[in-house]
Amino acid sequence: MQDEQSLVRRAQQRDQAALTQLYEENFDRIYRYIVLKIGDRTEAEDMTQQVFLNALKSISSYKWKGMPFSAWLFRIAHNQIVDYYRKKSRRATVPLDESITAGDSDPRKLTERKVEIEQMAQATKKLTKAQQEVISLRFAGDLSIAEAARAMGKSEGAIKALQHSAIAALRKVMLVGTVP
Amino acid sequence: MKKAREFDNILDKCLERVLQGETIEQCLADYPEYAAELEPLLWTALDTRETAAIKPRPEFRERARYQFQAALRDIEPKEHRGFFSWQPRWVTAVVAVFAILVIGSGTVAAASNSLPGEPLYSVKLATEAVRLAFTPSDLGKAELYAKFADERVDEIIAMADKGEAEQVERATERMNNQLVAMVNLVVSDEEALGERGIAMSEAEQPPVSPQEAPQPREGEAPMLAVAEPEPSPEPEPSPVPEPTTVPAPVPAPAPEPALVEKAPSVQVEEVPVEAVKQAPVVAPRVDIFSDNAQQARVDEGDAEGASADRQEKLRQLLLRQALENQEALREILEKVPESMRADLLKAIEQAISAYDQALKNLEK
Repeated sequence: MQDEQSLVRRAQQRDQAALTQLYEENFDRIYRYIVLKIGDRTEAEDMTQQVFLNALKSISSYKWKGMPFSAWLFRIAHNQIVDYYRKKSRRATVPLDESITAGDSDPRKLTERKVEIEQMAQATKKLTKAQQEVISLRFAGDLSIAEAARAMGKSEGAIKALQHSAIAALRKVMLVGTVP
Repeated sequence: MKKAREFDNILDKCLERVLQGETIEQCLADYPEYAAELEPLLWTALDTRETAAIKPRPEFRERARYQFQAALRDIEPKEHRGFFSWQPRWVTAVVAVFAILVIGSGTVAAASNSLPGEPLYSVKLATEAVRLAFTPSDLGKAELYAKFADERVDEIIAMADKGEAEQVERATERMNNQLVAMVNLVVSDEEALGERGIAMSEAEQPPVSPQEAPQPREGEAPMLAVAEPEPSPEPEPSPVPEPTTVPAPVPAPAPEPALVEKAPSVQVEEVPVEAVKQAPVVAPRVDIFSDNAQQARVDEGDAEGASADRQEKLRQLLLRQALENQEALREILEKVPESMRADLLKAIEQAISAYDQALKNLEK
């Protein structure tokens, strides 16, 4: 964490190597986080790019609070996602396909077919906002329980409980979607 | 409850192990009593992880990297853009004084219409600081602070309209600092003597008149009360809202009645503490500005009545500003993106609180 702090400090002083390192270390996870949240890869590409450009513009105002730097990037991404849905809701759009192609109630794999990211994104939309966030941060953003707790401003115990309820809810949603 | 917590911990331990490459069966073998409950959850988690583990398309990755590097190359010129953005503060102040006294209307008038992020905005802030410095009376300063806070509200609206969240935040801070400084100046005389020492800590210190400020040594920069120079514009994607929920307008914290405790972190003017200690509470003297010159002309017998009259005028002004500004801010609140609402709500709360406190003080 100390290393990251000094890396961020250098980045704030416009050290290009530090900025590039932060970019490379976080690019994939921010992309995955956005895709899982919106289920649209093309949009996610544009938004990922914008997250880093926005971060670059505002990094001088970033204040180190002991949280991983990625938590700040996830927050920027989160804000962009909120804007994305706000704009999208203004446009007349075709409702999302509610059918979730999952498997049966077998405790093993939900489906023989691979679940696509778009379907997973649809399923997670049925979860509460907090459950969605914990799923996105843990499984797409690769944050540990402790990091997710700091990013979400909750205790580790609360995040573990939230993770449990989120996985259970996600499973339920996906099973319901398979009812013939 | 305890059992639930225990299960949450076991699920998390297994999850970590599975994500690290162990098989689900290995983990279940360690917790046979929970195996039935754990297994479906672990499979779901594993599916989620596998599904989410997508890679960006290589062509997108390259394009994004190229654009990021291009943006990196643009950083340096932005840092040095504009004359006033890199000059030391005292140079900006001297230029502002020079502009006011010698050049007069041109530069200052142009600066007075500038907005945060524009090259002349630093001159605008410096001009305000100089005007405050040349205004000896507390009431005169309070009137100026009210006027400047009104300007800040206009800037908040303009910046919100442009989607500049960070500038909204900064303008809000400046507005709040100026309103709080005004509140401190309009307390009754008894309170002024008793409380100002506390109230004027750090950010709320009113600028001292140049006559009272410590004189710079020869060759040193003059210590003028200089407004904070405007940093280079940075349209920040407001990293404020909670990541857990879609940020529906979160009510800002309830305004605290004791405004003296709400010392904002950003200073409006940087004034040496020693200089503030030397500053007179009320020091009427001839002023180069017309409103203050008018005050200086009032003879001592009429001074009290004139002061009361000005105080009442200030009260009326604040009342009108409080209502108009609140209305204007609420109007723009309806138009801005969701991500900017928190900043604007904060601005509204702070404005309401500070105007309210100032009006209360004036009514005492």
